[in-house]
Amino acid sequence: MNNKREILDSLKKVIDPEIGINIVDLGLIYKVDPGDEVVYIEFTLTSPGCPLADIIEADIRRVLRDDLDITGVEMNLVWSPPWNLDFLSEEARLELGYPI
Amino acid sequence: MNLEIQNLQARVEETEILKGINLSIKTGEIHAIMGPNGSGKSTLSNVLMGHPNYEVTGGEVLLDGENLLEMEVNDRANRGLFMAFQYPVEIPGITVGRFMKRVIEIRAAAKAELRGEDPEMSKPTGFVKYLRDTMDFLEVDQQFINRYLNEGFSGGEKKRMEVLQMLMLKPNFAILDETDSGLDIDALKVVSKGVNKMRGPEFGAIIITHYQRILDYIKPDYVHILYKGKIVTSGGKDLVQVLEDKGYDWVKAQYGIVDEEES
Repeated sequence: MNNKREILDSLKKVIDPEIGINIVDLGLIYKVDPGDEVVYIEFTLTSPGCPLADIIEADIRRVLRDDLDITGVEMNLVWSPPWNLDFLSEEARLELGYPI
Repeated sequence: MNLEIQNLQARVEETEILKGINLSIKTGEIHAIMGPNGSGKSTLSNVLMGHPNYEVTGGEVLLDGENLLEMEVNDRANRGLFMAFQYPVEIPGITVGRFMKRVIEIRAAAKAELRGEDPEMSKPTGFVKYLRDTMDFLEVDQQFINRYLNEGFSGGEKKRMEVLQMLMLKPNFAILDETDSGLDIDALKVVSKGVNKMRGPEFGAIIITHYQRILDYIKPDYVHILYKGKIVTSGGKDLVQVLEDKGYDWVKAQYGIVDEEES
């Protein structure tokens, strides 16, 4: 079984190309279920219709494979709850100039 | 690491200020440099850090054998040199938190590069917790994270910010340029606590001061007395007491210094 912490650390290498901040600190990852066979990841994007879904999905698969040798990944792009600024981590807030 | 200052001479505009400084500092050591106003203390720290208004006219400074004086200011910082300013500047528009995050990232990337690793992969994690813990340690209110760096801070708050930066950056050599000036006793204790926390085999410091006071809290390994651009004598921490008891006139008499203005 994979370690959720390790998976999240790895996902921090996936950068939202528009904002320049990793998807974990942006609060785009809603759920990580390490699973026995397949890792299940539920994620969102900062706005519906964001054209980057494919790129981010491919990046997620790439880092998990390269870092943790995980090939079985099931991903679900969800829009509920809708993402908002409150989902930013403190580090992302600092980076973007919001108070923490 | 070691920092070798050899026969260093420097001037500001046409005035010769440093007239041949020799000093050797290794990590693990705390050096105090004491001297009266105008002896060249701040010039020395500014030259080491690369202030453009100071012109080096002779001698050299080697950081682990490499010519420090040829390095850009940011390279000096990336190589582990740090200076706590005597008069920290206010930087409106940049919050303390954002500033700290950025400088930590740059330093981490520089360290990774020196080790031959990919600087892109060196992003520090847990930064905010570490910042908050360090602020607690220095008794700085967490709200300062969201304030513009040094803007409207009191003198003591500015000096704490310098020490906060030092603790976050973990330099190999820190120059504290009269960090004790203008501090009340509580702030002085906090600043000293910060420097003492850094003490260890990977850290060396030059503490520049007029007064004995800060050296009651940070025990130096070596003490140097700077007078008219030269180190006139060096010793252990006992020298601090001698100086405090007898004053700088004693230094002049002892080492046969003649004031040029009077001669």
